[in-house]
Amino acid sequence: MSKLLFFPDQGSISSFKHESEIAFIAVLGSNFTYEALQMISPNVMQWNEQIWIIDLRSCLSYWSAQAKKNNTSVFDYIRGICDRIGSASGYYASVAGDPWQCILLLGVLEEKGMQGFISIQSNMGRNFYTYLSWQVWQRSVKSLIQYLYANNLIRRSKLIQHEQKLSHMLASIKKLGIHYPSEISDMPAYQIRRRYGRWIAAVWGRTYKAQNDQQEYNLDEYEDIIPWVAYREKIVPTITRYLDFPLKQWDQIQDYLKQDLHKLSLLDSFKNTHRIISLEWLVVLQNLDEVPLTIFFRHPYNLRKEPPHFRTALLQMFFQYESYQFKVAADQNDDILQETAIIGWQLKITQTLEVSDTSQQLFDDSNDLDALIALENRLQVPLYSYQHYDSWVPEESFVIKNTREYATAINQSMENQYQFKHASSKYHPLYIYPRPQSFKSESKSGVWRFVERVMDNWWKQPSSNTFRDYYQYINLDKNLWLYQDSSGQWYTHGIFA
Amino acid sequence: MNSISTSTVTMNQLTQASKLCHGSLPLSTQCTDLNKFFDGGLHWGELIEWGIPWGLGGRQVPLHFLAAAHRMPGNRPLWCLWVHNRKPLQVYPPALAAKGIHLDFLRFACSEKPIHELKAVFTESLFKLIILDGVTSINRDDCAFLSQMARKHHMSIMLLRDQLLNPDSGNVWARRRLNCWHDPFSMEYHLEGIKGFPINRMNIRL
Repeated sequence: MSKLLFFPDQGSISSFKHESEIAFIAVLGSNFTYEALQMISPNVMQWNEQIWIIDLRSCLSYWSAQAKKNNTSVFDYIRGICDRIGSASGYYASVAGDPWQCILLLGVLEEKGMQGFISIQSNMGRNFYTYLSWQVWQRSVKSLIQYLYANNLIRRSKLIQHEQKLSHMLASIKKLGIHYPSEISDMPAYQIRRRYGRWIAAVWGRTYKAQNDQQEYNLDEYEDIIPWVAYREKIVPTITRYLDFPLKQWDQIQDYLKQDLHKLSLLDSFKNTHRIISLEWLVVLQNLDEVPLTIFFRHPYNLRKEPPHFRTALLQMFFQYESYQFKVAADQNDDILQETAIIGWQLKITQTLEVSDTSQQLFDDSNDLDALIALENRLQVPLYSYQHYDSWVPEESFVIKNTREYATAINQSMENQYQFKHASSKYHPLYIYPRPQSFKSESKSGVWRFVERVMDNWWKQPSSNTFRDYYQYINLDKNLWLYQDSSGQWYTHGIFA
Repeated sequence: MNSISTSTVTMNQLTQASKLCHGSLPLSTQCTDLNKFFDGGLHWGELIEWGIPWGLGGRQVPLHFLAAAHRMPGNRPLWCLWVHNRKPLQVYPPALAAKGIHLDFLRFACSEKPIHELKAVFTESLFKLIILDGVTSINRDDCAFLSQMARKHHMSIMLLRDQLLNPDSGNVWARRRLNCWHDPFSMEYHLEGIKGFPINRMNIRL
């Protein structure tokens, strides 16, 4: 059975790939234990005995809200936490959008004896990364090979093969007299591939990912050079249920689930400061098939706050269970939803976020926002809101925001809203197309009203359009927001609904 | 003397705001004619069914109630929710802000089956004004549920249908039913009360 994952939206996760400069942190320091790292993210990976990699993407919006609340940046806020954890014995930490680049930068920092929290995007981080030595690169690639082997991701034969290819490459580099990897950073990955094989090319491609992204060569196949093996605690809060008789109806199932959630919340391995990010509900069907259903919470969920009804958890479990049933019905081309009998399950808390005393107040405030956050956890589809952006191009004048990002904005003055009100035209439609549609109409009879002329982003490729003339076009059955670009083409951009 | 009158005004405003929040005062817009047609404004605890032909500009009228919910004298704006299912179209927020709607207090959801997918929204009282725009899946049973929840939580739920309502086919669960359309030539909005309105017809300019 394949694992069913329904939210968070894949789109929202993948978008971090491009824009987030603090998606991953690699840390080296004796005080950085798994328990301590839980304060930063539930998703951490042990690279070797000393180094940990933290994946921040699943909780970045949470830290963003926390940082705003403290009038600081996410980077500074997380640096503060790392300082608190590692200041006693000193630590090295590197921040980047890619785990492999984190490892490399960490190697440079360690080599130079530069302790602290440094981002690859900062001037200092960029300079350090430019002077990445072959020794550090070689050491890091070797540690990557060891990591893959230790986690049974490659066989011994592959391990030997990778090491041989690496030695060949470094021997050639020595012959050519190239002092630093950055000297050949613009070398296309396919040239490395031709000489030293696919895997070394993949590692090379990721080392200078930004440069290689610009090239025509497709780097998608390199996405998995570091398969993420999340660190799991030896004792995971788990409850197993063996039913005396098969159950089909949700009403019956949920009564047992309530009992199990209650037991789960009382386990010693589940701490009071834990907030759940995801649960795994492994359902055992009557035919002994096991269906893993992953239950994600949009916001960290406090299980101990909800007994005896556990409404939030039960609703999300119901949505996943129902989606699974729909999927089964669709696979069987069956229009009627067949309820499958369940004979047992296992409930496991797979990801938690440790809430420290300083950050706990965001969860425990009893205000509207807290109610909204709790409500959002109980819905099948997400709620979203918008924020203005100062841009004259209509589709760039707003951005979708989630609730946590609004946590602090809500108390800001309303004046900004009303300033915008005066600045914007009342002849704007209620609905727009995210991408303007080509307007083709045999007859253009009707009322045309010129609305405004706006400049287009002519300096951004591939657009070469200089301006847009917006019109309101009204005929008997349409009331559209159209524009004509500088080449005379017509587009429908919105509908006056 | 001045300070006394100022404090009296403030107290009056606060009292009014409190009444609004507790549902004893209707939510009135800045358009007097619209308030008159609605018998003082939008009454809390009601399901209102609107027939607004799609794509002709008639949805500007319900937006005025949304703006009114965000213009609460002496109080924080009320939380509102706009639900639609019009992919690939999306709501254009600057148009809402231009009407005085506070985007921080307005949430959106794109849902085909809101009663199922957003059930908690209706069973809890956080959102005071909910607009269901062009959601075709809502049937009589759903209307019964919405009406019950609106009454229970003192919220106002507006169901915007994409076509004009037929007076011959009723909806017992909607406290009020009306048709609304925009005449682009006279620039007037035509309101036609089908159920629950003191005035049958009115043309207004917004």
